[in-house]
Amino acid sequence: MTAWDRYWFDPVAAVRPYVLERAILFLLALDAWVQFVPHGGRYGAGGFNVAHFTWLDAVQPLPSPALHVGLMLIVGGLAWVIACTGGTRWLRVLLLVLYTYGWAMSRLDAYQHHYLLSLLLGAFVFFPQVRAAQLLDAGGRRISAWAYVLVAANVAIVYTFAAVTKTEAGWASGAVLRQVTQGSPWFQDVWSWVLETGLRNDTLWELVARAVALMQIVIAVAYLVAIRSDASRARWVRPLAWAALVAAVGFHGSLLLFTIEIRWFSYYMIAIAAAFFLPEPPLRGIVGLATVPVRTVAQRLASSPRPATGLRTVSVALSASCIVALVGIHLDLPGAIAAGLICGGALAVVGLVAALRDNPERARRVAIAAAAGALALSAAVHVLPVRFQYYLYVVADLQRRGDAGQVLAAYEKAEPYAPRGQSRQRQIEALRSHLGTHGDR
Amino acid sequence: MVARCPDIASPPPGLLRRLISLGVAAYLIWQIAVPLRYYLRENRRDERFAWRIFSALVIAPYRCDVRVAEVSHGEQLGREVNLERTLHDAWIGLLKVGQDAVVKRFLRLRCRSDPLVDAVEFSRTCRREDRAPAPHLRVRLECRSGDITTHEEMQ
Repeated sequence: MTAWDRYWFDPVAAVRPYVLERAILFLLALDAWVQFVPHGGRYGAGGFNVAHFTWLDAVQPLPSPALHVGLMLIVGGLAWVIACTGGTRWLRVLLLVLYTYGWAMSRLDAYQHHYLLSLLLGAFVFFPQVRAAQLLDAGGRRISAWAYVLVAANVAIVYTFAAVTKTEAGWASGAVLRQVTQGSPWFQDVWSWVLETGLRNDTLWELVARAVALMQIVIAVAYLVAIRSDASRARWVRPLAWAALVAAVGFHGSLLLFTIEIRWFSYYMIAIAAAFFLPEPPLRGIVGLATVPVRTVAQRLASSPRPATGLRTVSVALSASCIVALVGIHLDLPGAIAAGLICGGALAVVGLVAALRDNPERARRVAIAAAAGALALSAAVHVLPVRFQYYLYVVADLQRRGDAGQVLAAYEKAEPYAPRGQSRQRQIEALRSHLGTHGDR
Repeated sequence: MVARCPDIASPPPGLLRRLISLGVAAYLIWQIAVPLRYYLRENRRDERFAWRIFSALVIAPYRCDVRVAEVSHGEQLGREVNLERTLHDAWIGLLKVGQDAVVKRFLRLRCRSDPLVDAVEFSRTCRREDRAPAPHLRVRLECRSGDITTHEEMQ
């Protein structure tokens, strides 16, 4: 094999692509449910939209809240099922297409990491399918995984371009960093404390700006090199991986502490760094802990005294499809009923087909994972103010573009989901009284 | 391409490996070329695929205001469109960063909304606190001919 072949096809620790894929998919599931959904109300507002690609504008209908929210609920569910079961190649392709359409349908979603996630999902289509039990049973298993190496190269490209932008005057002078960190009391305290050492303010900003650029270069190089860290005998590879991990966690972790709107970008980048740079044994430990529920279910299914007959598979799939549909019906979000019914129907069909094809095990695993995902979604929207945020964003838009009646209706939708101390009852009463006086509802 | 047990450690065989290698090389070229286009362009208002991490438009040393005016019957001063009542706040944000595709689409929408409108003009005026020069952008769409003129300068 040539050096090129060895780079892309030589074996890597099997646990790394596994952790990368599953961590990203779990994050994506939660991200879709609790981050994308609340912003769905703005799609199609005012009858205006611009897609990311001109051809998409030509073929798609005007996006609507129901379309976007429903799509994101399905994307989250698919990501969850694949994270739990590994899914199939076609399920991964479906996830890639639906998720990419989710952000590409409108420039309202302009987060660069959403595009990066599409690239990752594209790579996952070609990832080796490994089960947790295989990783844990066989110790330090190695696999050839060119798509995993490609992710590393892709992320290195991201950091390289990010570092290039740090050569611009605005960044190099520290002006951008000043803006990012302003309004952060703890940072101001730390900054003042550092300035007490006698460093000039401007010098310190320039120093920090250059340090960030250097960190990004280190991370980029490490992604290209550390891919071989499990096999390499070079002593400097492991320290470089550690340095990159510290740099990635430090850089992206610190962004979480400032008020910049980057959603879950930091969590994704930290998860990616952990999969590539952490030593193999801790990664296997994480897999061992995190996959206890999935392995327990799989073990129970495998050791069940009653074999997985077609009839049992159909009944499991139908039960799961009912749970999924019911969760959709009770979410009280636009598009949720359609999403629940589509996913429930698809599960029922998969169960029937699997029973007919005499391939019940996988269908049962998918059905159980889907039901668990639906319950997780239900729990997430009950614990987190997903619906409250959704309807409040709608209120914010209607206050400018709608009438008082519409605002009141949106407030009334939000109110049952208000977290403690955030009730909008006062606004509702005021609007009711206003409308009662003016009668324009 | 999807490796499975028990032969899980094996790289793909010869021809497939070569095909994958070609695909990988093409993919990498694409991944480098797309952001590079942004860095080589003069107009850097479309940051979507540039991997900047920190947006130069959102985290900018200036604040921008936008207005859209509709001109009809040869009026000198157009009638200002109430953007707040017309567009979702998020779209106004995208107009403020001067996204060309959004600006053009909105101007076309305004042209279509009223047959009496001859032209629609978008202006984006940015100001720095230190009064240093900041971008000023004007885009005018002639509704009948569809001609678009763009004027950009530092003011």
